[in-house]
Amino acid sequence: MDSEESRALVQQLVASCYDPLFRYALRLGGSVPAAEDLVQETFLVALERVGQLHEPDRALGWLKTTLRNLFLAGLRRRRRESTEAEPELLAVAARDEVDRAGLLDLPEALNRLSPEFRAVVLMFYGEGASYREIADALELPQGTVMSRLARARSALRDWLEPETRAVTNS
Amino acid sequence: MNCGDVRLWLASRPSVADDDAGGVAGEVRREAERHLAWCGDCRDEAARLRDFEVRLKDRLVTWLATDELPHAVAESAGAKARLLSLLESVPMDSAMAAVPSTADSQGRAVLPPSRPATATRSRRVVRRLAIWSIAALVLVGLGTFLLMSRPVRLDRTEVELASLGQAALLREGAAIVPGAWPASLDRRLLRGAVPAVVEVRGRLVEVIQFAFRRRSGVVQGRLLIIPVASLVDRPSGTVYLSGGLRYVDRFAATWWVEGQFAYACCLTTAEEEAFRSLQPRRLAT
Repeated sequence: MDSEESRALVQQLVASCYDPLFRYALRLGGSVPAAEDLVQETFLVALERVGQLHEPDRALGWLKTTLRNLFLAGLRRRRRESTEAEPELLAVAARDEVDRAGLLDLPEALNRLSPEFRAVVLMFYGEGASYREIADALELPQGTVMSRLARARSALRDWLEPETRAVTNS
Repeated sequence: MNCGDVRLWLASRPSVADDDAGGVAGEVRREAERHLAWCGDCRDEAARLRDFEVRLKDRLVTWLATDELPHAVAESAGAKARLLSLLESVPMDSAMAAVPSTADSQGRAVLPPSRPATATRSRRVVRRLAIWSIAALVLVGLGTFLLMSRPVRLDRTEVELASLGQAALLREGAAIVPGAWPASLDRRLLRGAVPAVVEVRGRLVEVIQFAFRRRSGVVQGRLLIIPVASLVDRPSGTVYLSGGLRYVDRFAATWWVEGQFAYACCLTTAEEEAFRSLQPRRLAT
């Protein structure tokens, strides 16, 4: 496949796969800008590697895997570059919010978590990954994965089902 | 161990449904289990937590499989067009050969102007006229705004966060001040790039999106341009890369001031070599 054929193929993939890929990115990234960036980066990587795509029928799965790897690489890079020992539980946009009363729906609650915590929840509960698999993917100690999972679950319980917490405290 | 200790222990376990939670000291675990054997309240709490986890898992699996996000996808329509334009502009092998060998030795190929093969000269002229007209309108609008409105000074982080989010792009093909590009950044990088404008708390920020190749792959970047008077925390650097790197979301950024404008160059990599490769050749040597 020559270069222009690669470009044409990736442009076709944008036409056929952009929307489902964007939906996937939105769930991982938590916001429209983050999702747009992830999808854009994914297609730019695809432009480099589209020659490796031997089964066009599986293009969406291949793109999703690429996108997920980019998302995880971004988390690893953030961790290496961060001066903080442990990332914040709350996403940047949620930190200035007044503590919200009432129920949140699942996407709202997940989006309140910072990407580091949201990724652990999505991988453990959504994809059925083990602590070890998550630790390997994020290059974190297994204990850190477990502690993030516990903190995230506790916060999600407060936001999704506060009534069960009220029973606990009574 | 009392009830409070056991509730804390339960909450600290990564998954209540996981019998082998690991990481919990054996003695603490045995004490908690002894407590749970006789305390009905704590057993109920453990059951509620387990039930919550089951529901959370079910909801997440269902949500991940759901294929409905029409509003967000609609918001992203502009991004799709920008992506197609960016893909069109990335040089492929033949274009790479045209890049000067000095650029290759730095592991970089600067993007040529975006020129769809089918575009006719007259269409390009019309498009350029349109871009300059919009730019002029924006310039007039900005001047009016600066004169008439109460000055708002922006924090650099809020500028970065707003500008790096593509959804915030207001106008494609617009520039605050056409040609207000920094001298200490390789201008070839910006050749053919289409500027856009975002609004941050009433202030306009110009954003130029670009991409370039390195041996490790394609790097995305954005150049932010903002009148220096708009910033509350003026950058100390006076040339590109003189102010160190900041990290914002998925980007690393360096800020500096040249003349009346503050600039931020943001890349999706923190490799210093990638940043250095964007210096004009005379500065890089």
